Amino acid sequence: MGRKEIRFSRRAFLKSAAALVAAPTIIPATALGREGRAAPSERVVMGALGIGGRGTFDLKRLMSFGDVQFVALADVRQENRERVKKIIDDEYGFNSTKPYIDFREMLAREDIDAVLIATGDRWHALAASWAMKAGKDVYCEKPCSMSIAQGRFMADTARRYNRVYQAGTQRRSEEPFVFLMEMARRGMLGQIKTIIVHIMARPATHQWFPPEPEPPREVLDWDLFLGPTPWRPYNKRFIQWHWHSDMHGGGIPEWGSHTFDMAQWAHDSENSAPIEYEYPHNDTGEGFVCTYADGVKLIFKGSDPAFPPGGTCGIKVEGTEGWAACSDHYDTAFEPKSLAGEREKIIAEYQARTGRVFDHWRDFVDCVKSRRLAVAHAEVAHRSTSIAHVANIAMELKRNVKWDPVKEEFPGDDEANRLRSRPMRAPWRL
Amino acid sequence: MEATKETKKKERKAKAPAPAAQPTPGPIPGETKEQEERRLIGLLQAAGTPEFDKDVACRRLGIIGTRASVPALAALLDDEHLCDVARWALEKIPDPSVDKALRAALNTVKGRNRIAVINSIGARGDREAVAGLAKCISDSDMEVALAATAALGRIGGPEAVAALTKAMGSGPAAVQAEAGDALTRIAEGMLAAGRNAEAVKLFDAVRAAKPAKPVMLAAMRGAIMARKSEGAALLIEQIKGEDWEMCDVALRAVRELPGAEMTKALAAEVAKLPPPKQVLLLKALGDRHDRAALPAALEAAKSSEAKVRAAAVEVLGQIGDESAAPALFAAAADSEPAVARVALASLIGMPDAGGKVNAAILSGVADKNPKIRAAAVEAAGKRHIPKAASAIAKVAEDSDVQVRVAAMKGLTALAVMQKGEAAEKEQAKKAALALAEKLAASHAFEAAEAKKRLTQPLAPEGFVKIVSTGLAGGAAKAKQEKQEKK
Repeated sequence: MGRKEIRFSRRAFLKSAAALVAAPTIIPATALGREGRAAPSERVVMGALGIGGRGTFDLKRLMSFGDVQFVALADVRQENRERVKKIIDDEYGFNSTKPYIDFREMLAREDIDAVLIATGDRWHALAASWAMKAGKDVYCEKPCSMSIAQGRFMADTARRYNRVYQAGTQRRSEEPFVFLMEMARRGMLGQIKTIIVHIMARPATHQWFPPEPEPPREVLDWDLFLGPTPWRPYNKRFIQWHWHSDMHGGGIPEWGSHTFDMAQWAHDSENSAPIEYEYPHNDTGEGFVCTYADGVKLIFKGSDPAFPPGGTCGIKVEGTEGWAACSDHYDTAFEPKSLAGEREKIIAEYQARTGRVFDHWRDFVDCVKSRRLAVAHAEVAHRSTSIAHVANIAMELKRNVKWDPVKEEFPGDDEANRLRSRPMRAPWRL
Repeated sequence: MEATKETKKKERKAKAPAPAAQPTPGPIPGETKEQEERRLIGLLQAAGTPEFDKDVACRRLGIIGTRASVPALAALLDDEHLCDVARWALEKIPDPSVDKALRAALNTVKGRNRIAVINSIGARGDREAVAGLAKCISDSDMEVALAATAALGRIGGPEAVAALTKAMGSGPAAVQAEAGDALTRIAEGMLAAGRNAEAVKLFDAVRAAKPAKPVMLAAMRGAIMARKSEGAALLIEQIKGEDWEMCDVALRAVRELPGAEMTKALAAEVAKLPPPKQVLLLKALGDRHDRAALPAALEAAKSSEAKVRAAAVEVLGQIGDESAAPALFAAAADSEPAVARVALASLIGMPDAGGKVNAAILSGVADKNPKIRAAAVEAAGKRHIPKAASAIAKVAEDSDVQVRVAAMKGLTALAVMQKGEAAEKEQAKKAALALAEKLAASHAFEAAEAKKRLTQPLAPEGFVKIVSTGLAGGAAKAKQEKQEKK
């Protein structure tokens, strides 16, 4: 497989009028590339952006598909560029993966159909929007934004540019969670009263560290590392960007991106949000209560051994006729237990109705080809992440707030409305 | 022992990084917001205030700041380090003095800070700044030109549209593309405000200027959506055309534009398209969940192309009714395994409001073709069709082993369903267990699975840890692939 063929992307192929007559409807074995890889006409060519630990996991999942081909990566850190280039080169048996420091150079490549974004959170909305504006589809790790304004812009950009966007909220593609959601949405638990969800009960803080000499750009591009974040002097401790409030929203969005997303799904509110947010009078968000317009309560819980016993990113939906709960690495638990007999039927109906596969990364690739909205598309990602932002604003103001999910504003609350956006360091902008 | 622990603790402390600077300009108990604002302004203006303290003060003024804070904040707009955090406050203070200060800074600050000021003007939507920004479009600094162009897109209005239209037709390619993006953004605002006619005009103007491809795609999408039902012709033209990226735009619009008439118009195009596009349009029609597409899907289910048949059968599972059952049965007997798999999934999952689908599926239990009998009995059981146990039990002695295996699966599903009559569930359980015994030798895995479901509680006590959800983890994926290879 030569470089020329590798770079002959689905996009390039589809641009050709010949595709109309030449595109095979079933790929013959002879048209497959090396080791069963799909023919160029079926292959989604991708670039990787900001690949650390989680990004490496995403990258490997995507590379496991025969119809996905990574050709480039961008990272501000030399050690990541070298490590990830080796992973990709080893997978494909060549040495031609192109590393970039500046992701904008990678986005300018016409042969790239889609990008995987697993940068620090501060970059998510911005990089995704710029990628979509450049015509790329996007798989982006959660949370989708650092502010309500960023999320709205990202979702609007996805719509405007007709791009496929998949947020890394993979529980939407996991059968135990889907079973729970379907039970809730079908009324099998009765009328929903309460949804209890995990958060990480730990706030992010704002601080600077003593200045240190900046490393050479080749080693770490500090300016690009900061990106849209307000300036501060270099200190290597920022490389671990979690829990610095300009770079990370803290424990509420950390797990809430997942668990609020499921709550929204269970409550059938994917284009809306709770309207009242009660400040819990602590610094962690533990015990935060949000209320939907119909009175359903969304309650945040930290790592409580009693809920659920084990796992992370858990959710429990309580209704008038039963409850259901699930968390990472734990199967769905529920009452009444007789609901178990409905599981197979419910899942079959869900899959027939939606056409979804229980593989989040596969869903993304399928949608790139079919142009269907991905299961965790930009609007649902923005809406569920907004709950985290609204809650964080209540935490910053140390008081209750009310939220209008239609206008996406705090009615008559100037202080809170000011916190909907985070101006970006120039030259970055929405 | 204790001493050693203490020593180690001291050593760790000595190695630990220096403590972070703490936000000293924090709130003082009992202070009013006016007092706090005055104190923070003083802090910004005092000589020798550390940068970090000024940073924190700016952030707080972003929440409580008023007109009084503007001069102190505006003075930081040419500060290399603090310009951006000053904008955190300035962008949010609802007072015209901020706009005035930003317009003044546009002519005084340089380099990156000028771009920052332009971005803030755009964020505030200051229409009085349009003329100044329009001049910046031709700035020799490309970043300034791009920022100004984007800012005009955020501000909108006739003057901004005029400046951007001019920019879209001349100048550097990057600025032309940015101008196209800005214009589509303004047109989307018109669309959101219900000003469709104006939006159509602007989207069409962008298309006519033949901008860069992504902008062209955005304008095409807008042009279709803004026309609502009248956009069908433009939409179909893109599906039929040779530009696959435009086709992609149209496929998304197919999913979003409402109305049964729209469905009919689109469905009428399916048969006229080459097979790859038939697949894509069928899937898009399925996502509309509109039965008006049913005739087209039924016709496509007869296609000579397997991928088209599979797509059509998937759509029948989404929107089908009892009239789709014969087509699904035929597909269940398809020589292409992928088509048969989708057909079975559709037979199990197809919606049924009045019981007619269930009746149609039960009719397949007596079909001459064993593949159809197998699909019918498995689907009947897994759909939990009331009183299906007797019908399924009748094929327990079927001459075809695949039918017997399917009957065991169907009966097992009936035996464990939540609702239904106890007597029927017991009948299903007995019949399924009997089949499992008989099939234990030839179909050990399936028989064991059935026995397990019938004899063990389906819902565990409390939470049960699983190695992987299956579905997220690589371990389950690897396991599945290993099984498939076997």
